[in-house]
Amino acid sequence: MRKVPMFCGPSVPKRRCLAQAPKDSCSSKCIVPCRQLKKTMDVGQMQRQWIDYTKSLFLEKGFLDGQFLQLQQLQDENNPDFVVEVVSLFFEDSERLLKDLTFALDQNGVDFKKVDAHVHQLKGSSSSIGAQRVKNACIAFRNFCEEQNTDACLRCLQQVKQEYCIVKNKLETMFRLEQQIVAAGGSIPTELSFIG
Amino acid sequence: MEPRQLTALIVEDDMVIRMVHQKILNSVGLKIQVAENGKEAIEIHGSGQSFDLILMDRDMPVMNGIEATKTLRSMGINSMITGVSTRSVAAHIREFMEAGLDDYVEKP
Repeated sequence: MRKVPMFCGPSVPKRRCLAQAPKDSCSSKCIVPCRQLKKTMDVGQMQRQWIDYTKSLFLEKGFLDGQFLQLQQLQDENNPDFVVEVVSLFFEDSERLLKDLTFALDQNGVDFKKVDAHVHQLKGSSSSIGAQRVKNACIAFRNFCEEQNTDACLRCLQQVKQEYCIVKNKLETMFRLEQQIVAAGGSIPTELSFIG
Repeated sequence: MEPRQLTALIVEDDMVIRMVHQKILNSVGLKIQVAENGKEAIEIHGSGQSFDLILMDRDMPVMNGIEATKTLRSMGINSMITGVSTRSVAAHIREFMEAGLDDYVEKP
């Protein structure tokens, strides 16, 4: 991925570089020409914003787990959009399953085997992309399917829907930040060493 | 003479997991085909195709991994079959292994 330099060399005062100086006035001293400096600082800020945001998804509330990092490691030049594609598929798959679950639990005689099969699928796909809180909500849901407890299952369904909406929102925000970085000529940081 | 590309059949009903497994196996150079359930896997073999590796999910609609594995072995299919499941209970794993697996891996 193309690296974007961030700062001028130490010999040039930053204020001068950022001012409306003619474009060639410091090009002989700057590592980066003045007109690019503001652009590259924006990219740097965006990259830091992306790192902070991604970090919070893992560490603060556990929306994502290490499996998401595994997905990122599978992405390469041959499949540069792999993560977005898998996550988009997860969104489609989940929305279908949540619809099916709502329908199944709305029936007079609830078919708990069918409900459990849907939850099992959602648990599997959420696990595979690292959507930890959705996965955990599905685990609890399956326990109540086994007990054939309709009310508890309905409560679990609400919980799963909530967790899904939150993680969808978080991931879409993350992807938007990535698009902004790339559009500004930067690259997505690959160092996520904060995950143990 | 160029070495032959190894082939794998991914038998998995979930689209998301199928995509992840495809990417993993592609990235190590395998040529991939997919089946959405055990019955499709049987039909693919019935048409004369064979694979170096079969990655077999356990819980699938229409025909599950246990039935599919037993059927493939009874058809004389000697390919390496690796079972994949989230199940971690020893009895469940043993049941799957006894169907004719060569190996078993747990998925997230």
